Amino acid sequence: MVQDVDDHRAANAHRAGSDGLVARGISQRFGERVVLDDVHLTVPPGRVIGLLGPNGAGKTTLMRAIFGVLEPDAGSIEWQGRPATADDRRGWGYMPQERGLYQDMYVHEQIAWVARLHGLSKQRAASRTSDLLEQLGLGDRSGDKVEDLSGGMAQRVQLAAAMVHEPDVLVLDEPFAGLDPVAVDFLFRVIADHVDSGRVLVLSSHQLDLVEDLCETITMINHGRVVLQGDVSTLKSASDARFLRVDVDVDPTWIDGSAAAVETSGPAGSRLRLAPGAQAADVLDDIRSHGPVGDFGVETPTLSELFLDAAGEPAADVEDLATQNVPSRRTDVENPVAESEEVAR
Amino acid sequence: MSSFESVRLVMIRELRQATRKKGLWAVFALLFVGSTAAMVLPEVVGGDDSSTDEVVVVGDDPALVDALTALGPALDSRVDVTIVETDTEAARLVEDQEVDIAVTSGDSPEIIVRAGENAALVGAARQALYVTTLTDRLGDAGLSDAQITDSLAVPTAQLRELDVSGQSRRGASVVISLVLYVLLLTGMVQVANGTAIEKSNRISEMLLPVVSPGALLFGKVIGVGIVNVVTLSAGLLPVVVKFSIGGDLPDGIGGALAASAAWFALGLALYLTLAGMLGALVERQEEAGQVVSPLTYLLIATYIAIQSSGDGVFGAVLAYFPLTSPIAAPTRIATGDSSPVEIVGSLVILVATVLVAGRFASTVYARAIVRTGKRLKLRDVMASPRTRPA
Repeated sequence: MVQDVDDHRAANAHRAGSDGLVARGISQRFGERVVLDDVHLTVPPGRVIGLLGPNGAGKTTLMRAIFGVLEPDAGSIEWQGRPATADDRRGWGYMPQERGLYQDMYVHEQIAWVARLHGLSKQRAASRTSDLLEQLGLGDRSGDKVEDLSGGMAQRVQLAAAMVHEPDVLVLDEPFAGLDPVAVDFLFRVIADHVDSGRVLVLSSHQLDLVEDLCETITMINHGRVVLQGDVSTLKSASDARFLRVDVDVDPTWIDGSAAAVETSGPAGSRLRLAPGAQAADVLDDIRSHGPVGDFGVETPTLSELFLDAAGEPAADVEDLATQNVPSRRTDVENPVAESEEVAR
Repeated sequence: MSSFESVRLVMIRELRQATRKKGLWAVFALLFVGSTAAMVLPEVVGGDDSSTDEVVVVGDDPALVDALTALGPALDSRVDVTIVETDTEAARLVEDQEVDIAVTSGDSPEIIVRAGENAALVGAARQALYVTTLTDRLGDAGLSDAQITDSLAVPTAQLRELDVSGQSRRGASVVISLVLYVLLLTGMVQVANGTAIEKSNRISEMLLPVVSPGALLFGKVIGVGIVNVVTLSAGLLPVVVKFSIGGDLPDGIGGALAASAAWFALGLALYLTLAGMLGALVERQEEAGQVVSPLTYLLIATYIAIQSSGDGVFGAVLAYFPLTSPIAAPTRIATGDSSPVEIVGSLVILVATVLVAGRFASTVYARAIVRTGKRLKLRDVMASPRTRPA
């Protein structure tokens, strides 16, 4: 199994190639607490890579290590096939999880100042800032102080600070936290534009289901260890887990004796986990015997469910995770990486 | 981009933001107006000393008029003498403050003056009356004018001035140490506050991937330092202008100010760097004042100690110790208590300390600025994981 993991990492690193970003064997410990344990992350250009996991999993620490803010106990960050340098990193863009802007600075002035720190000339910084603020819908607020903006606008200013120098690598730490649906949609487009231009992007999120349709490749970590890694479509199709979705509120007693268990249920519908080898039609018949079913379908697991399977969370916790804000829980997984690889295959 | 350029950009931001604060301009204006007043007012108020003394003489006594007029140089003024007919008129003029004194001659001469005023002029008028009376009597005794002149020509006493500048030097030292104390304290709090804000608002998280921790720290220190120096210059400008146009300054202030510049710059560098380091330990801006309190207390203690016993061995120790020398050394230079060895030794120790403290502070800053959640202790920070080179 260990050999399989190594093969997978080698394949990923090779795919990142000489023009991608690789975090290789990153380990970090704060006192007695292990925050990252031999974490590998490969980020090839032109793809949306998701670094996923519950709060406290170690995502932000890994991103700090990528940017050199923190020098890890072990491991290395490589860019285009060689160790990343401070100059390389100056060309990257980082939007930290906890937004940081000078509240008493004017919007345009602040972004242009950040651009100067990234090495842009004064004129280039000013023109690039003006263009970007227009694109972000902040052209008419460029003369305002950040403290006078709404939360959503401030988020966009933060994004502008990460993108003003047209970075080769864009790293977004929990970019969707606190965003309204309109802002989320806007950010989706920004991300798509970035990767479509063949550049590197990695985002972290604990909102697994929110980024499910966005990320093409994911690395899930829990308690500092990689528990699942690979292409989303491959991971889903390789999973044994199958779910039956129906548009009725299923009472668990309706399916007593069936090879299924209710995962979630409510007026909007129910989601049932099918036991391995179970026939969805048989379970559907059991439900139909209690009332009509207008809409149904057999689905692959969501990212939350994949995470739960990989991390070995008890089934009772699935609903909590699936309904968001994945809590940090101690698991007793002997070898989560091996388990995740097994799922991936 | 070079580290120098990063430091410069961080510094420029600090300067730009500082100039937008009304409080800075208020302090600037206050210092300028206060200093200008301190330089100009003595000239205006003290102008009477070299102006005109108005004296009236009752009756026609040309000799007395000449003697009174001749008093001018001795009184450092011009004595204008007018003649009135009666004592009553003379008394009225004095009472109405139209003249300073009135003098009547004759067998029973009299000086009329408002109570408690013009003591020097009264003394000089007595001398004039004495000379004219004596001249008259010598003439009555049959002496010729030449003989009378010879008789009155007594040797002029040589003036021996005692050095009383110690008092003004002591005054200068009080002013200098007070200014240094206030500026160090203000700058220190500004840097600690600014650092705490950048940490608590996670601004440092955004900047550290681009700017080294050292550039962030030293850019802020230099920026705030310049703001303080410029603020100080608002108070110094009138002094320099007065000095350059030949005005009288309190003894010792010019040299002491010049000597203070080195300690002031180094003191700012030391205290502001340490304040930036300490500011990185806290989680909230409200804690910034607390975390720099040891330095604050040290500054207060130094200020008090140097004023109370700065001229002894203890003062010399304070002048050598790098955390107290920024205030103690300039003060002792102003009072004339420092030796050349002490001046050079103090400066060398302070420079070395600034260099060591800069390295230590940037290491602590780099490790602490990314550790959030609670207020940190120095020993915990030093035992924490390494971060990127400061």
